Amino acid sequence: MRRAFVIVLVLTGSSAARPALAQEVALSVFGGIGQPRSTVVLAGGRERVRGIWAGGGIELEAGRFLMAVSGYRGELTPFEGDATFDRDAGEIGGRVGIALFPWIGLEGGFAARAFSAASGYQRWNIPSVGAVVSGTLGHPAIRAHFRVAYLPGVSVTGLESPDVGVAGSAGITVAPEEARFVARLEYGLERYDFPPGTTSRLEQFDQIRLSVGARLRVAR
Amino acid sequence: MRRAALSSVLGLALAAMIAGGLEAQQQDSEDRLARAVAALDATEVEAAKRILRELGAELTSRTPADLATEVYIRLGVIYVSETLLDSAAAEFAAAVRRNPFVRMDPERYNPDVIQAFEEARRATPALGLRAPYDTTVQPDTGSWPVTVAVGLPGVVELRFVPADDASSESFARTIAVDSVQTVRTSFTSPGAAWLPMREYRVVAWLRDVAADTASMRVRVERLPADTVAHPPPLDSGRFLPERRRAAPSVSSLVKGVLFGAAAVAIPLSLANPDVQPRSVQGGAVAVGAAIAVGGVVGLTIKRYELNPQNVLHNVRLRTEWERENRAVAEENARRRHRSPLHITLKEEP
Repeated sequence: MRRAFVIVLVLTGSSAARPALAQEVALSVFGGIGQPRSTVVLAGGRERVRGIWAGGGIELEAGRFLMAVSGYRGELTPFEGDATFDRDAGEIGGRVGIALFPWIGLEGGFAARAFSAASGYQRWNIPSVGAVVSGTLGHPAIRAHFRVAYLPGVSVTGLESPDVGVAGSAGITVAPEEARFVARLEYGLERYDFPPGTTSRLEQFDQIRLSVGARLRVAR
Repeated sequence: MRRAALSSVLGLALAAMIAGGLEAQQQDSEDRLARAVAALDATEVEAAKRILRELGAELTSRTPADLATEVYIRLGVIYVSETLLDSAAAEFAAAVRRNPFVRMDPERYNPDVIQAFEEARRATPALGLRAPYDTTVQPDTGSWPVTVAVGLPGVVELRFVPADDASSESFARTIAVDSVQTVRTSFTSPGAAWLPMREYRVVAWLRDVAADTASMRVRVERLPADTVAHPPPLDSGRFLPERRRAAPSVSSLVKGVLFGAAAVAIPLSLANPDVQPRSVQGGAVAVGAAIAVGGVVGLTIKRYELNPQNVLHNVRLRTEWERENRAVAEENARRRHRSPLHITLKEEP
């Protein structure tokens, strides 16, 4: 117990090691556009849909802490395989994070994603816990990140919960200190393996997303 | 317009006539007093008494205090010589009320007159204040004299009240006065730094005879001090640039390649081969390439970093200037504190 406590202390570190993290509050407001793709393998059949989603989000970074919410919606259209129905879709989500060091942090989040088609309605509840590694690329205004997450307890309308849920994403953010402009390009992939039953089901959701917005920095 | 001008001219003429009349009346009173004194010197007591009584009957509050006091005193002296002691006491009391500072010279008057005067004075509640009209006082060492005279001996309360705000804090002194006493007030002694530069009303009253009060108005101001000039603002040319061009960051290129490769590797490592063959995905490649380009940009972009030596130089420069400026400010404060106080009487008691 004592050792675990010490490890937590070491991981969270002292603020003296991260003066930059402890001194700034930044609020970012994004608008974004993304191209998601969803692939489902069901009983040997394979259907793929894709589309364009648009939405936005707000991020608040206060020293070592991060809070973010976002919402996107759009359509998904079959482009390969057995899929026949167009569907409306969207998702809302939020995440919180803490930077253990300037280059690594822990994050937890939740997203709700819904698909509506002539064949019915399906909702996904997706909790996540993960880690994010980030670093500046030679200039404080250019920052890259790589995120991996475990998705425990995913629930899907009308289906058993997947027994494997993992996600990964990477991206680059440009936020010049002198300007209030911020832009981010990100690619992410989620993998869901459902338990083998009467029919085996595997799903994958990936998307590339470009967000631009404004960032307001407030020194504390 | 013409009527207003006429009214002004008439008003001025009337004022001149009244002033001229008062002046003539005073001159007449002085002449008659001189005649009375001459009659006394010629031992024509009755003639002197008649003139003085007439004068005494004409005295008003506008009559100069010296003249009125002289009339009362001369009459009192005559009454003592006639052993009319009650009348003498009444005249002496009137003299003391008119001028609490009046005293009789023992070398000029006989002891009976002195005794009669003193008895009358000590029985007459009266209070007077006097102060120099224009004084310069050295703070810390100098003091401002206020002379208090009483008829009836007693305890005198002396209070300095700001003239424009009687309710604010004031400074009080309590003294026992038998006849005439001078109180010296230090305005900026260590314990009396309370007195800001402004106009004050000095009020005195006999503690047991509240009706007897005296007051005067004084203005207290500091004479300008010979202060030291502050150092001029620092010339911006003396500061050194605090930021300098940083060397290209090779690590940014390495990080860009690593993060870019990680982006490309996401579908290769995470995707289920049964869903999608583990192949390079366009979206991942686009993001990976963008990150790698970011690394290249980071390598070539102009970066600046702090130059600690120059920062230290500038901090020392500013610190030295601030120290010098503070020292001048402190010296000027000391000089201002030491500059003499100029105290002027604005309104006589």
